[in-house]
Amino acid sequence: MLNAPSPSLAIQVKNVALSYPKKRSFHSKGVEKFWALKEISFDIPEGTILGIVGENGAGKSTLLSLLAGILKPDQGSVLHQKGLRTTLLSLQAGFSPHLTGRDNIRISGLLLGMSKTQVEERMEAMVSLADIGPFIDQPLRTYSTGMKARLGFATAYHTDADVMLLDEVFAVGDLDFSNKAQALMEKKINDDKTVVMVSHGEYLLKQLCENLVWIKDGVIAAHGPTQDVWEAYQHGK
Amino acid sequence: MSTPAETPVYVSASDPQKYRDQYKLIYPMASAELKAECGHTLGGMFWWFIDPLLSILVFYIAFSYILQSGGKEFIAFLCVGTLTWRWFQCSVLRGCGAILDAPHILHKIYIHKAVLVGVSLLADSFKFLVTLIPLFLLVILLGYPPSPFWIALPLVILTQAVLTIAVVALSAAITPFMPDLRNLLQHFLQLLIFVSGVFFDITLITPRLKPLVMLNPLTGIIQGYRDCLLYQTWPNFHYLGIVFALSLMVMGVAFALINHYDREYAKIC
Repeated sequence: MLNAPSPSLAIQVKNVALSYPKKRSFHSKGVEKFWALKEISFDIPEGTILGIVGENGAGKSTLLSLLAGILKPDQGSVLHQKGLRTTLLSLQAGFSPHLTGRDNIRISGLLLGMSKTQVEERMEAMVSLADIGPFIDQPLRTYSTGMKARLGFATAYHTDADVMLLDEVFAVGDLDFSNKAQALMEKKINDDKTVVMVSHGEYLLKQLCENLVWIKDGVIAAHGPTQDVWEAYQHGK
Repeated sequence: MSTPAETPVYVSASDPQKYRDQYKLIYPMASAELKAECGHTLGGMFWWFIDPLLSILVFYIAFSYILQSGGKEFIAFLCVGTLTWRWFQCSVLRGCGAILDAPHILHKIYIHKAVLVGVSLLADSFKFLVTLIPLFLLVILLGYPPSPFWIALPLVILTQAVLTIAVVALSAAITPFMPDLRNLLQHFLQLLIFVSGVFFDITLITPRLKPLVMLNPLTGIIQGYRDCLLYQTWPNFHYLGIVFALSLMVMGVAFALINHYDREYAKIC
């Protein structure tokens, strides 16, 4: 689409730096800090899919938390386009071991931004996607890890978002469910959404993302077309 | 090309306007918490009644010997003191960890931390409110019929509510920075129960010590409940007014702190 007008931006990240204090303190001054991100800037145009790669501890999850507004940068700014709903599809947010599967869906759905009515309307769809049989009415403490993951995915999958932030949401449950989850997410992502995804999966990144950002030691080591950045990342790790 | 009408507007990812509806989460989260608590034990919600009853029983056995007092009067006296004290104690013990104990939520989504404090307060207050009706029935059964002075009760309850909110919000705001505070609070509460007039009448204390004892706002509040329910007299409105006003001020400071450190908590919890 060469002549199309340039799309508007969904998110702008400008000169962002974020630190974690090494000690708990009321004052930020004088406390030793660990800078998880330093001078990060990039734009996310509407309707595009951006992948974030980097080694463990590079700052990928911190970056997603910043984009979601969970954390606030020490310097710089993260701007959202007004009217677009930006949501981090967190798995198992607010899950309680003593509540049933359905009640956990209810509370997690509300926390992810669904209204009460939406949760009830989507309840059967979420229950059938989780596909854990009669366990759905049992307390979560009786679930296996895989069953919890299925329930978490089913809730997050049915969350509305114009801009989806995904942190490795594909690797859930057993192989069958993981494949199913991946197929569903691919469809949802290709459904003209704006997506930022953290992943280690080469196939997934190459399949879905137009661009990649490689984060290394809190700074952007490379940003550009997926193939180029992936190769640079593989060689420069 | 885009027209001016289509030019997107940008707001900060941490813009408070975007989260102004979050207070709506308090009620469903508190109900879920109570539901989880009930589902956790065999006795379920009966514990809301059994717990205070057992406390009253323990105190009665211990203090009827020590204080050489017993009978219906002492039971009524203890019931009023214990139930109202428990509301404060349970709220503070749970509430001081409202933010610190919620990493499973605050790392995963953005939630204003005042909402978490609200959830904890609402859950414990609901448990207290349902025990009020049995308390009234018990007081009547023990020979204290309803009197016009009962209409002052909502004021006493309101004063205790504001005091509780203030203490819980302040401790919840500080505990993430100083987790040891929770341990200290437990011991402080243990001390406080002995000087709040839960077991003995503060008027028995020598007049010299009374002003000192009354510096503890819970003493005056518990006395206020007994004035209305047992002694057929008006509570000390002047005293309650001062507690109310001071609590409001502390509450303001506490919520300002929580607001100030709102996104800092996710870094340290």
